[in-house]
Amino acid sequence: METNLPIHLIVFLPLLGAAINGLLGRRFSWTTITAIACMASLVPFILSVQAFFHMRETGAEVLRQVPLFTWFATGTFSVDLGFTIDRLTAIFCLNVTGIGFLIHMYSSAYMKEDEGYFKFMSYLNLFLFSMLMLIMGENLLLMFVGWEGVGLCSYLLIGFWYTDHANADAGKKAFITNRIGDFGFLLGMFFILYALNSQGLPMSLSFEDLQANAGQFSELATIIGLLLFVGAAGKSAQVPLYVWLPDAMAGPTPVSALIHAATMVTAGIYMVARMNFIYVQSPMAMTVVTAIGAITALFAATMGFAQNDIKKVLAYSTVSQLGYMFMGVGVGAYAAGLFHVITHAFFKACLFLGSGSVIHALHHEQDTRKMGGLLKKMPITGWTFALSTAAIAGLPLLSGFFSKDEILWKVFSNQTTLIPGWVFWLVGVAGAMCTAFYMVRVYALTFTGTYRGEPEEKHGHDAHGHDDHGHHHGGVKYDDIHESPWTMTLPLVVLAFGAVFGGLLGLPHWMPGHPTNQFDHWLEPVFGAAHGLKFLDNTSLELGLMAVSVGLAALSALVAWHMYAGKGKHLPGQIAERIRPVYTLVFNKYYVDELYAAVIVRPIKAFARFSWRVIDDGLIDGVLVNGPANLVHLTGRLVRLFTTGDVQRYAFFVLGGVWLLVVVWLAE
Amino acid sequence: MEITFQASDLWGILPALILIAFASVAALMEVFARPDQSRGFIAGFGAIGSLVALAVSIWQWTGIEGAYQVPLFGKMLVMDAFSTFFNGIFAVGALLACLLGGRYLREHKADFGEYTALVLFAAAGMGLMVQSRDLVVMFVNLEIMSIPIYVLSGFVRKNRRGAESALKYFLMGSVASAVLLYGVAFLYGMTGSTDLVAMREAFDADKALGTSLLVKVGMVFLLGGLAFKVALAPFHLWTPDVYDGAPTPVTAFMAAGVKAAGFAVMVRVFAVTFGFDALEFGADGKGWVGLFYALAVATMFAGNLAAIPQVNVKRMLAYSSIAHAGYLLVGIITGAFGDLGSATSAATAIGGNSAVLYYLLTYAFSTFLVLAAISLFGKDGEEFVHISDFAGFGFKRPFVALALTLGLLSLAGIPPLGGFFAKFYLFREAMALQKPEMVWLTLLAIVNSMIALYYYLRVIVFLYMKEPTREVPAFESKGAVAVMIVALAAVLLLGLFPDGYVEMARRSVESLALR
Repeated sequence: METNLPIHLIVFLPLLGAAINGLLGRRFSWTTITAIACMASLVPFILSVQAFFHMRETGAEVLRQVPLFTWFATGTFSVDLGFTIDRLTAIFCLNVTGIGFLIHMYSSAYMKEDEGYFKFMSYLNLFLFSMLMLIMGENLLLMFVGWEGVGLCSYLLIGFWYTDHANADAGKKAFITNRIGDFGFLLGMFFILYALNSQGLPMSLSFEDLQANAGQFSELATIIGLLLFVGAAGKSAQVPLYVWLPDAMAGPTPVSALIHAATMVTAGIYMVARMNFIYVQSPMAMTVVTAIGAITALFAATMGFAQNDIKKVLAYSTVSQLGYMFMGVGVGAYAAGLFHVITHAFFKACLFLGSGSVIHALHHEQDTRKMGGLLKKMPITGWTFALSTAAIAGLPLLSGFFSKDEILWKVFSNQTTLIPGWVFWLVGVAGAMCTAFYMVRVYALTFTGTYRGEPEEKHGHDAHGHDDHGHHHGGVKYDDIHESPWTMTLPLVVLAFGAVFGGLLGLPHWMPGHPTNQFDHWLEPVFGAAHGLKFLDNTSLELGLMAVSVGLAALSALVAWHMYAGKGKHLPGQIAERIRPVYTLVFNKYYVDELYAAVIVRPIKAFARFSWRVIDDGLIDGVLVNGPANLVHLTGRLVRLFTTGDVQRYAFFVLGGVWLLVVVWLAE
Repeated sequence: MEITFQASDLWGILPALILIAFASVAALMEVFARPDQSRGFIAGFGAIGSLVALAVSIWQWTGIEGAYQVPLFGKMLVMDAFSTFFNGIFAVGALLACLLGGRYLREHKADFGEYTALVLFAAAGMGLMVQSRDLVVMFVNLEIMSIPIYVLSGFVRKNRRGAESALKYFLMGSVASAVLLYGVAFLYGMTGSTDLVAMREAFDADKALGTSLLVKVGMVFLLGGLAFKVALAPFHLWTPDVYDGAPTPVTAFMAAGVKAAGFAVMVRVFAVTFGFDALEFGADGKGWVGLFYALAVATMFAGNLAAIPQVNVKRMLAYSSIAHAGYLLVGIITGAFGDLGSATSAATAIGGNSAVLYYLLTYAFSTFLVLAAISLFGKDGEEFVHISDFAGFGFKRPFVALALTLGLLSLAGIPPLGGFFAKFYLFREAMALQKPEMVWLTLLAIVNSMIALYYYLRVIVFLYMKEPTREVPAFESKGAVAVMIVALAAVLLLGLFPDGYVEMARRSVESLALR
């Protein structure tokens, strides 16, 4: 329905903020920059809340305004620049702008000392704009524009401290890996257009028309679904394109929390959910999505075991959790997958910001081996981190418990995938055990025990101070560690609150007093196409399986606690020694990066060198470019000879020209 | 030939009258000004006069609905939407030339009020020339336009190259005027009239007349005279010398004004009098289309190829203006495949010719944008326009360099600037004919546009990517900045929101069809 709510403002305010800070921010004070950037995220949040409640009250399924203008129209293919909010978008808007605002606020303290502060805030605003464009665009092409926009912002922010070569490389890696995915996205879009055209349908990419015409794709649904999924796998860091996300941790921590945990990386899940009407037509595509999700969930979780960098652990955890979300949307349980997106946004953003708070306090120390005992010094950070850890590990009644177990049950009970659901369920439970283990491990190493980062004596006391941001040095004395300012801890508290109670948004049907899952119910209109999918309906089996998975995860968590916080501290070393080859393999992340380097990067570089030296320098520059240029230059010099500056000759040409024309014309 | 006069006729030539009035006062102001006084105020006065003339043109345009045509002075002159459109361009050209000239002349120690007077006189001449319906009146107005321009091109007397170029321009212009007048004489002899409409009626009445030798000779001579003014090859040889030697504000005024006036007359003469149906060119394919075709190809290549080796930026722009004249011919040729008076083919004639008008409009602003920036380089009668003089300038004066860059990009036809849409519209109309020869012509024009990129981009390379080799004086001028802001806004508007301006151009051309 048409609405008077200022939907366009939600998208364009962040752009305005980005433009003001980006162009003029160099001259602004910290206060001005902060005010502009935070308002540019807070106001869209308020507007999103307003839109959400408006939809709840009126029961509206879609809010839209008249498109701003027709972006382009060629023949039967036309694209409008317009934005809509449907129920799926409304949830994402709240997520993106809400968590976005908290992270803007957090960044105002975290990045305060950085000389590129205005640039950073401007990029964050630009990211919000792109992300909102991605989720609110009324057609697939606008979504792609936003898709590329968030990729660009991600690149800019990962390499924010670009003077460090490794950071710049990480940015490039993210960008290039995403490009591979984008290629799939584009091909998928072309196939959609091809399908429309071959059926003689108008070539409209708006989601509304696509949904209406979805039945026409039947033969091509598999290929379209798989190609789009390549894009999703790139953006959402799934096997085999996940390699960029751990490296992306080179960016400032608020970026990791906002872009690489809570919002951008879930764009792939959003896209699969948005295109549900295509996926439900192809059991093949659904199986592939689920299988990739399951493989990623387990594979990335095992890599979390052996990481010592606190942010790297969280990064692999994110990859793994994204795998769960894909399992959910893969089997057609779109609401379940999206519910995990929301709960994950709370607890993972909280974990990242918590790690940022630690890193901030320890002056950019990220190695958990040099932490320990921080709970006493940083109680707010420590407790919020603990709650979020419990949530991700799946402690009953916390948000992660509800969302993860709903996914696991849907995966188990689905009747659509070509591989039986229990296989995926087993993989998912194994992944959940790993998750519980490495998360407890990282919490224990960071916050319990004794502090292991005391500087060596010779460094003296000069280590304190913000002047050398971003550089490692002798460490911080335990006594000098203090809790972060309120602008950083308040977002932690808010997010931890969400991590604990977020599950209430979607209490499962078996909870007393909740005959239907409110979250599912809210999203129902969006996933009309998925109604035909069959799931087992057996509440006692559901509860039994849940008990098994929770029990296994709890066991795993207890073992981890024993090994890293309790009496078993000698065990990790012994175990690693006992299974040395396996440990080395995991520690080196299965050598996937090395494999890609050998199989893909090096051949491409060799080919690039060949193209540069032989094709570009030799053929193109030498023959094709300079050849005509030299020819043109030569003719130019000849033509120029006519202009001698001699008046008589000019007069001759004027009169001669006239007679030449007469003769030419008469002779014709 | 009977000349009648009524007071309402004056309303029709009001823009020109205002320009002439202001010009006369400006000339008097020079006489009565103290010798040591800066003449900037006279230029300002001229700017005000141009604004008034512009306002009157806008008033005339909006005052009458649709495409209008009002004969004046017993059909000697005419006021139609077409001429009002061009009066607007000339008023803006005079305005920008006044704004640009004030400071420039002071820097070059040639601060005389006559500059303003001459610019306004020339603008009045251009306007009247476009309003002429009679070839003899048209010739007189051509001279009213040309003579001030001859003087202006040698205005900075300290500059010897300027003086030389003025003399050359004058001599060559006289030859061209003679050729043109000769052609008019032939046509009068064959048709018994110098009135464009009456001539057309004569052709309509006797189809054989149009194919007679003397009509053809007359037409070619007329074309030769006009081709000289708009610098078509092979009548273009004076252009580099004069564009280079003339003071830069005058160069801009010539490129924007004289070229537009010449093309306007060409459109009026060839679309109305020698229209498609009149001479039945379409039937045997032996119309002036082939002639124009040859001229277009020769002009495009002569301009672009000769621009490439230039290291003097003003000379380069002179050759570039020749090339643009070649592209403009593509529009006239497109229009020639239709007749304004015909029910079936009027759309073609309107499409092609309105593309010419649109192109002239964007070209005027783009060229002012570029030359306003270039006019800042120089002192005491010497201009520094070697390409290496621009090295590193992009970082010294960011706004001026940006304006120059965007102006060059617009000339090159890069979106989203006006120059892009002008080319796009022109080529689209040509392709819409779906004739193989027009496809080839368009392809040649596109190849030429690509060649042109080389020399436009080279300036930008020097602006931003080369280290300066020597210190070059470049003065500050509020007037030039104002010109750049106006031109920049116009170039962006024309590129981003072309619809309204296309509609203006179409309405102008439609008014030519009325009798």
